[in-house]
Amino acid sequence: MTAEPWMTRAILVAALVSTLGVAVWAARGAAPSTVIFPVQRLSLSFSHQQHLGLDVGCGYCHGAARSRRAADRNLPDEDTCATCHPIDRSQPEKAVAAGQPDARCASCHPGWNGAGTPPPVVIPTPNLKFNHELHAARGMKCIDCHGDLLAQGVGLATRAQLPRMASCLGCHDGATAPAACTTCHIGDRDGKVRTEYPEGQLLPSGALRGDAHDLRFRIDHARAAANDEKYCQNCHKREECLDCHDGVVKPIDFHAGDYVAMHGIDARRGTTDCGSCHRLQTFCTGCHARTGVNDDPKTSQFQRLSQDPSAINRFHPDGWWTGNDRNMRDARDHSFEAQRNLRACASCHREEFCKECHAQQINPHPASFGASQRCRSLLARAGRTCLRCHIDVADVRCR
Amino acid sequence: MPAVRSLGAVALAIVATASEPARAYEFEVAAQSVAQGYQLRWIRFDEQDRLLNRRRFTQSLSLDVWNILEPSFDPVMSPIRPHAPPLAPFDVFVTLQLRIDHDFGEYTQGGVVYPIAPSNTIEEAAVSAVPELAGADLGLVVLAASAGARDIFGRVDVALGRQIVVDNLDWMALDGLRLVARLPAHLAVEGHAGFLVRDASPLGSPTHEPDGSGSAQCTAFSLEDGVYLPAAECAGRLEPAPTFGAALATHGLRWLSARLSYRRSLSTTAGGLYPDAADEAPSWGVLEELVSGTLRGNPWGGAIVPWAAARWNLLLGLIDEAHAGIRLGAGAHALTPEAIYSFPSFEGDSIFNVFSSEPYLDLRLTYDLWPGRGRLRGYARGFWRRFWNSDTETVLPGQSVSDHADAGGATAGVRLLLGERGAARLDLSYEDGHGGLRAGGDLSGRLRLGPRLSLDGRISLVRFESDTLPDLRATTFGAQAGARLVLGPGMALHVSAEENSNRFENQFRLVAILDLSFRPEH
Repeated sequence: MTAEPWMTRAILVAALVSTLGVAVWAARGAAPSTVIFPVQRLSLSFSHQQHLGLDVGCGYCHGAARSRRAADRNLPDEDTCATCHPIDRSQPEKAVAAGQPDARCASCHPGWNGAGTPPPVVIPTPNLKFNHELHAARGMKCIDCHGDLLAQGVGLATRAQLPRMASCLGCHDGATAPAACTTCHIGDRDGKVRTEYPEGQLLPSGALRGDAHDLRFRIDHARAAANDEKYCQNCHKREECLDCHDGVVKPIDFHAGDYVAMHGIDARRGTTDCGSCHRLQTFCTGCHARTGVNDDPKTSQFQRLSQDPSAINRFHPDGWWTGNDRNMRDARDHSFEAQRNLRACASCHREEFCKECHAQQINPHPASFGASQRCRSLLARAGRTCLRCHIDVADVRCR
Repeated sequence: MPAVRSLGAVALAIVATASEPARAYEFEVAAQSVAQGYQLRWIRFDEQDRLLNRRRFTQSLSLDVWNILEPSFDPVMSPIRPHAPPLAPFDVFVTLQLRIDHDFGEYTQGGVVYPIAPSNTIEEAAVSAVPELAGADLGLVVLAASAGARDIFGRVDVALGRQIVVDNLDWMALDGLRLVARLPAHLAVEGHAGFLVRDASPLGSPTHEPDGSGSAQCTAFSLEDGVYLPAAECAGRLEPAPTFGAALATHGLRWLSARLSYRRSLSTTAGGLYPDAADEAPSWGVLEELVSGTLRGNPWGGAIVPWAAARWNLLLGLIDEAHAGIRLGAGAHALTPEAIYSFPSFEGDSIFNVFSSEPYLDLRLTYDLWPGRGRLRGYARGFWRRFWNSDTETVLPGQSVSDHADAGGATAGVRLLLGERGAARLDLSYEDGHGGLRAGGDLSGRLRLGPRLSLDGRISLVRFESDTLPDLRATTFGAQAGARLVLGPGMALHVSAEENSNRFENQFRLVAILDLSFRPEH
């Protein structure tokens, strides 16, 4: 059965719309970071909806409008509550008339009978800089950051009512308000954002630049770092790049275990971009020459230094060198392998080795090379390289 | 002179290890001393394979100085944030990163014996016989050394000296001037000019040598004999490489970051490398000439992130790298399909550029899991890669060869934070096809025993089989154990021992790192 074209289009549109919808919904519903707002213990029973419904304003209980530090504890004390609730510690079960504010201890502190101190309310200091007073002076309302708790029917306010960075960025765009990371995030002495906290490591969620530091981010970071290095430098020092890209200790997460025994598979397959950290013609060929795994005239363990022709089989299979007749190659001839991934050849062989044959007997160029843009571009910009093989400059031309 | 160089290196090492993190606000000194002992398999044909010992000591030293100008009073921010430090009109900085690496083991200090005639051999120092090893023989490199100013008028950054330039799909090291000006309308222009840092640059790192460049052992043309003969050194690699480039980029946009860049490196032609009897050799040649662009969007707060990048290699007249993908995030889940195209390219002096070669295409699909941005993180990735080859009709009668080869596989991993006490991670993978089989797993963990001491360990078991060499097949088992001791603020000692075993060899590796700018590993 073949689907009608309109049905195919409808399915595609529906899939696209639902994907976008789910993604947008999920992005809006993401919980705030436990590193920024550490996990709280709220041994309270409280309804913001009920209090706001009674027209009790935020500022009546919370003195946040005068707070300048994120460490300030902007919770109401017992005296504030007592302006409405006829609290009497000597009467933990104190009854009140119907419709009047409750006065029992347990009505706000579940399970507490008035003896000793009530169960603690633990709200760790956020790992953030924040000045409520400054924002209030700029005309910001509580609901701008914490949401409309009345409309949302919020009972006990939790971490879910704390602002996400996305809402901060609505004003902190570099024009309305400063956009530097350390405007809100705690900075270290060197001006970088502090990322290590007792609660864990502060990692980007991806909301800002789509750079979520997933488990494989260290391997895949290039796609995020390629065009905005200044953004990366908000947290990372430039030296960190060279620690890996020009490092001296093998990074375990890239090269775990006996990687040196298996790296040839990656090199042939090109699984990782070896060239982003290793130079084929310095790092690779040097080590291969020293350990006998190439055709270095002084150190090679190849056939040329041995009377036993099977020596060659240690590195390449039978049929690897068929001969000089390009039209009579073995199916395992090295030329096919070279065409598939020339970088793998260059990691063991210096170009001088390849020249031994290809400069004289066997044309290494692809078919129609002389008529190709590649030939013209190379000749125009790096014509001297042609002279590595073509001794007569008259031979160096493209069609 | 080796004695002088050695004394200099020792003095540098002493100064570096004696340093401690600076206490001043405006500068920071960091040092890292790394001692490594490990073995590499030395393939021997006429006797049993041996293990080559490496005994490396590496000393790194970095200095960062910033806020060099006297801070000035900020009339806008100071009344609002009376406790905030005053801001300087712009930040003048100096940065320096040095490293000395030496191998005391036989890998570098040993010798090689090779025949010079059917019945005559000669012994030569390894570092002399294999020129690429020079970097590990008391090699002092300056990885970065620059001074400049940031945020001049809030818009301009300028730096002069040795610096790393990240350029869309690759990176390079430059000795020169780099300037970035952030214009209105979220546009920035960049420009740089100077010399490409090469292996032969003063105190240059071998890693900065453009890839594929005429190899360390090359030949030079003999006008007398009319043939190429082995050269004592590769003069082409010694030539300075003037470099310049420019870029146009977005800045300050959260929903889009894009960058378009151009750069060119060239060098003069070294005498003797090419036949030049009638002065016909070009007097210069291009090493790199690239136009590249990247585009990355983020229209829905990290939920949908598409990106694309491509590089036009003007040297070859073709696109040699292209990437495209999109990350779709939904709460704890993210799905990332991506495609990568790559055509092997090398720097302009390399003859590999003219060889018959084909591109390859890589398709990947990655799933990431991070519930509540909490303790559990996981991923699964599948990939398929196709390599092409041509001239399939030119094989021996009765044989056939495909015009492509495929590889594919999947990996998956999960990491669990065990409160503040540690973490455990498991990775499993299976890959097969072109290149061979590799399948196995890796289990690692870290346990924090106290505020100063933590232990880590890892075991791995992997089967690998070459697809071309029947003998190159083994199962390898690896075990690693280590510890990290925090000596004080910014100071830590790391020790790690690793043993790897397979039917070819047993290799042992010992690493000790004294880190005087300690930052916890990610």
